[in-house]
Amino acid sequence: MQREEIWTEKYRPRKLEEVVGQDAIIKNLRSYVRRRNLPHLIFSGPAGVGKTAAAIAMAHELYGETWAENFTELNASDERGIEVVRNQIKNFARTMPIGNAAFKIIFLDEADALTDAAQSALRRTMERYSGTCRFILSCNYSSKIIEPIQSRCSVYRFKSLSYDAIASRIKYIAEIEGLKLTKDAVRAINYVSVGDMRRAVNALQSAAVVSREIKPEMIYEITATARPEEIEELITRALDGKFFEALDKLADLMDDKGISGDEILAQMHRLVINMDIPARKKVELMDRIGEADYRITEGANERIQLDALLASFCLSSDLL
Amino acid sequence: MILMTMQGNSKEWTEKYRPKRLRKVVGNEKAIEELKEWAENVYKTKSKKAAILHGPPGCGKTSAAYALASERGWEVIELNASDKRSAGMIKSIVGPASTSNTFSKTTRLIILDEADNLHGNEDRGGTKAITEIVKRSTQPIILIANDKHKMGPALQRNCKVIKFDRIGDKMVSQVLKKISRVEGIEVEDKALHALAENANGDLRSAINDLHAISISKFGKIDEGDIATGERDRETDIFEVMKKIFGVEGYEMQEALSSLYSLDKTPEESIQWIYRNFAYENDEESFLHGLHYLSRADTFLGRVKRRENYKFWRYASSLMVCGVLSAKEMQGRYGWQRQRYFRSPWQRNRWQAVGDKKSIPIREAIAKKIAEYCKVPLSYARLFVVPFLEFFFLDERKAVDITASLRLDVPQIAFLVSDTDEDREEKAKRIYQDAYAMPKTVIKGKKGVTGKEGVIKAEAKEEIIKTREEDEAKTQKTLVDFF
Repeated sequence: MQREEIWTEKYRPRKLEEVVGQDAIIKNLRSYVRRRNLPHLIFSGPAGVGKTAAAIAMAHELYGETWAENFTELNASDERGIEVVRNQIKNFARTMPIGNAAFKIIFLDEADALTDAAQSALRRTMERYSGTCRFILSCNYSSKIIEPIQSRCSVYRFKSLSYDAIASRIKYIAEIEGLKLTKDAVRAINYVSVGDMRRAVNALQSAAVVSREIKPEMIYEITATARPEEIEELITRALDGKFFEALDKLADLMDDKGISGDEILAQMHRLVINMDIPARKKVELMDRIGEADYRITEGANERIQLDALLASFCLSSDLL
Repeated sequence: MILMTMQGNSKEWTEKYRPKRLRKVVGNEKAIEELKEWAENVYKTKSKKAAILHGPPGCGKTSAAYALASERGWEVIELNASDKRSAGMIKSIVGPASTSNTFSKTTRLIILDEADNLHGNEDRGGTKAITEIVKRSTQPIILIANDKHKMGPALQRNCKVIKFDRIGDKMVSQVLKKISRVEGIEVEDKALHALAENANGDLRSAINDLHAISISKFGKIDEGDIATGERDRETDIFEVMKKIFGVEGYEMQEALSSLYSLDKTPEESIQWIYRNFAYENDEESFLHGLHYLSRADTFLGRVKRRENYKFWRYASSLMVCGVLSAKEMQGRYGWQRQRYFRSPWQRNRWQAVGDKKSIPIREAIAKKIAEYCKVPLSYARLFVVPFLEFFFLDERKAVDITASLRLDVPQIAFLVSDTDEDREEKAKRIYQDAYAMPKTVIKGKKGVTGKEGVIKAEAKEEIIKTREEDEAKTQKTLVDFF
């Protein structure tokens, strides 16, 4: 039997133009490639929006065959002390590039996990080996990188992916894999992905194992996500004062569909902001959802907290 | 581990254009003179063998050290933070190098970069080892640091301390112009100015910016290219502030998404929103908005304490939607505002704040606080000065503080809230009140402040001698003020 490859790896972009949803950034990166030179870079942004993909695609375009020799990816969160910088990074940085490459690239994933001391050590290493080496630091927020390193780098902020970006890549993969994909299924994938391409591709691959014809219900089921309409119904019932009907809905989601309380709260929070209710009420509801989430995280019983939350929604019409 | 200066093949412009001669080092004429003088006298028996060069990033400290070495034909041994610098390590490398020159006649200059950054565990005993070596060395040593206060009084006493300042915008843009000529790239004058201004006295970052832009741009570089560069994050946040506070109605979702797309953590964002909120609300909506800001803040606290980042989403939506709904409550669609306030706690940013004249004043105040409270300058600058502005709302407190810190009129005026029309007048009044106060009265009232007159003299002589032993006794804290 043919071994199934993980799609997030299989479909990792080999070219910069394949990295979707970050047009302005990609344009700049491509001109670095054209000039065959680049400054040190900081890629900041949430997970799964193309930071690693862009770095690897750039390495492919710069080095061709020898990309693997001239590009290394280190995950700073595995080991975040100063020793990483003093040993691993320095050792890679001090050797010459292979082939006719002018410099090597070190991609430092989750660089914001490095301690401040490790970062200051890194700062000098960057300067010292700039003749043979370029650094690309990836992080969630560039402010978690110390100022002296920031001043040595060009900072690019990767944005959360839009529907169009997710849809175009998902359709592309589905076509190559010979999957049938309805428009609703694409929407479902987009919803469960929350702007994270890795999640979107994983959802698609998981669904493809079940059937070559991808339907929205499968996507929700596999990812243990409630359909947005169901969550909306849950909230509406509660706000209308129909407490027991809301409880029925909750039981359906949790007991029959096996969706966790954590997930339900996250989705409620996502949806409330777009519901057609007064602004003041929205904020108050979001606050209460957050509070319930916090209590559950602290060890409270999730069923009691969710019931109480719905009850407080029922009563909220009088309060506001 | 020991790295000799790398030359020739370095591609980064900041390395490529490092000056080889001291007179080519831009700015800081006085510091350069002091450095020269120190180097000339370094062979004399009673002279200080080590110098501390301190100042903000990118103002030429490392360059000056290397230029000095190459000018004098000194060999360089450099140890920086990327090398392990524990006590044993430093002694084994620098120790022999600093005391023995029997084998060769050449002088060896030891450069310890980022000397204020000796790290706790890994570099255990590092500071002490350096102090020892500095005392015994026969060879010159240069310590480079951003903040001299982090290096301990004992070490400072044994060194010649030389201060470097930020480099003026004009000089920065001249350097950029020269480099672009040599590199054969065309840059508009306006663009050069913008680069220089953005860099805010940090020549290295200015050169890096120019380099980065020249790589990504074909043809002539104009002002527009600078804005698309890396330091445009401020304009982004102002756009988001406009969405949250502005007159045009925005959907919550849109405002929230635009906040998410910023390169700012929720902790930074809340400072911006908080700073801009308080002003133009009526009582009820003010309370409403503040309530949700405080809730957002509570969630931020939970993130910190539990290291669980999922609560960030509640913090973000509460801070944005709380304010938006307060706006709605007022029955108005926001406020027409010319400018937005910056977050008071934002690191290092105040230096870039519009009114450039106020920068030296602010720095002077920070210095006085640092001296008075025995805290590092950077701490005083970032955390105490913003608070002082707040305390100056109360004129009686202002008078007390003025007396303690010996502030002058422009400094007081700076601290008096900028919305006051007659701040000059007010500042003068505070000044007079502060210095007309009879000493005994102050003493009775405050205890510490009465000693003020003596403190300066003390600080210069006795305290320095006995500082290490009874630092705790002489240390004044902010509690004295508030």
